[in-house]
Amino acid sequence: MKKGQVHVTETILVVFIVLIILIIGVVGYYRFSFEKNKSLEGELSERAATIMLAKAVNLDELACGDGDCVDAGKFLPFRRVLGEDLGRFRSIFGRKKIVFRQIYPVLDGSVLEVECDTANYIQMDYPNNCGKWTVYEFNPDNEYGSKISTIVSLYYPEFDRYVVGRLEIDHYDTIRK
Amino acid sequence: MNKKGDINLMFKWIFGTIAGAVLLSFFVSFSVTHLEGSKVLEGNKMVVFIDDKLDALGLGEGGNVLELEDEFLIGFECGSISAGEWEDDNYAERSTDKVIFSAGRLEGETINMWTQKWEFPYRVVTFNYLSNLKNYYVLVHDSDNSDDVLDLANNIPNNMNFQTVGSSDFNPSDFSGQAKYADKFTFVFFGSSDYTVKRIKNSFYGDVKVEIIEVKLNENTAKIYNNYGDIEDVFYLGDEMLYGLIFSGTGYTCAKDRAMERFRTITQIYNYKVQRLMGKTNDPDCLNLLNEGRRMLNTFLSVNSKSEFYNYFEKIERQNRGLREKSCSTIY
Repeated sequence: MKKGQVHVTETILVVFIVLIILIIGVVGYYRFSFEKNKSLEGELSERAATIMLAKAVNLDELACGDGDCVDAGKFLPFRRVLGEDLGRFRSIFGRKKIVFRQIYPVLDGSVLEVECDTANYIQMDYPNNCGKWTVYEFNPDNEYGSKISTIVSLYYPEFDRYVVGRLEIDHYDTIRK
Repeated sequence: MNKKGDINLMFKWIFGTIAGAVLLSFFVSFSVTHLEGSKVLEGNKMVVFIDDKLDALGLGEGGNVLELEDEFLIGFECGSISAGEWEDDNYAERSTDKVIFSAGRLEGETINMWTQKWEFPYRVVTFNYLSNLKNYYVLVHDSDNSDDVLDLANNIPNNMNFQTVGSSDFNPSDFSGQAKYADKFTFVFFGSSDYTVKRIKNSFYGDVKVEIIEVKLNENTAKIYNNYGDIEDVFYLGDEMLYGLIFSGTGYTCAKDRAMERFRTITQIYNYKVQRLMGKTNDPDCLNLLNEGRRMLNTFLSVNSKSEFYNYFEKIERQNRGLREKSCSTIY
């Protein structure tokens, strides 16, 4: 091999190695950015859910007249209204699942996971025949969600009775889609 | 140097130049993409920040000042919050379910906020009133309504940049100094006024936007005159909505329509709730009262005129009181 050819080969080799290092760097950087954005998305989603937790308790669609409790008598009507205007509520709540549960007085273990629906509501033993109200759910991609919760005062207007309840929000990593 | 060496050197230069150009263009495009990305992120962060602040403030009632840390142009159009000019790189927009009464576009480092719950007769939605130091509001009262107007003004937090003046003392030239630095002046006359937008603008130097609102307190109606003198007739439901009219001017109708949309949703929820309560009560008196209440709510859902709104507001309020007095389940 001539001296000139050796020089050219050397140059190409050097440029090739520099390019390889550059590509590794760029790929590494993008992967790092992607991971960072993913964790930021999760962080923002959790923040949005925390805000939603405070908002849901005070939401006029669900709150008692004086605003100090959540009106259990509005859960089923709210679900009905939700069905009539799903698009608007999706833009308010995003990809979440919002559940209210009665936690005290403690219900029978067999009804804790029973959804309170119209069929249960019209029974004489309501509200002791069911343990939770799923007031909103939107998770089209079946994502795994993170849960946050808070204690609320639940009011049954039918019996003028207050009980201790819990509001649970499952949030999925994509915010407001 | 021999010919062979020249060719060799020339080849190295050409190769080096091309490789250098490729590397340089890569780094330049990489930087540009990042700069654009960070600008977009900055705009988006701002609208999310404001939306979150409104959420936090909306949990209670009262006034607050939002510090933006830099000069920003924030737009509060109907149903959306935006940051920046539409054609800018850092422009960002976000839809919102909040009912916001504001001048539309607020520029500066601070936004003055005030929130109130709108009850008609039950709690419907939180109203957000927004202003800044470049938007001035002048409430002009006459001798017939000065007490009512001063009562209204007393409820407004001082940071909302408003002032009150009696009609006999009112002279638009008194505000010409402030108008030099203002984006918009809104004159709210309680009762009728002899002033037109053109006449007031003639008292000012520069191109400040002027709007006039003539409010008839006893009728709950108003006329809005925009910057060009065009008139719009509107009505309001309750003092909370009247404040909305004052702080939004020509943007009032859109915000009011959003509030009415929420009102219908809440009324429908109460309508369905009362239907269910009826199935749970055994007392015939309560059943009758609830049934009447349900009928009222049903009609309340479809009324459109101001007088009917007030009429059913009173009826439902009375019905709820009646239910409470008889120890029945109440509507709200």
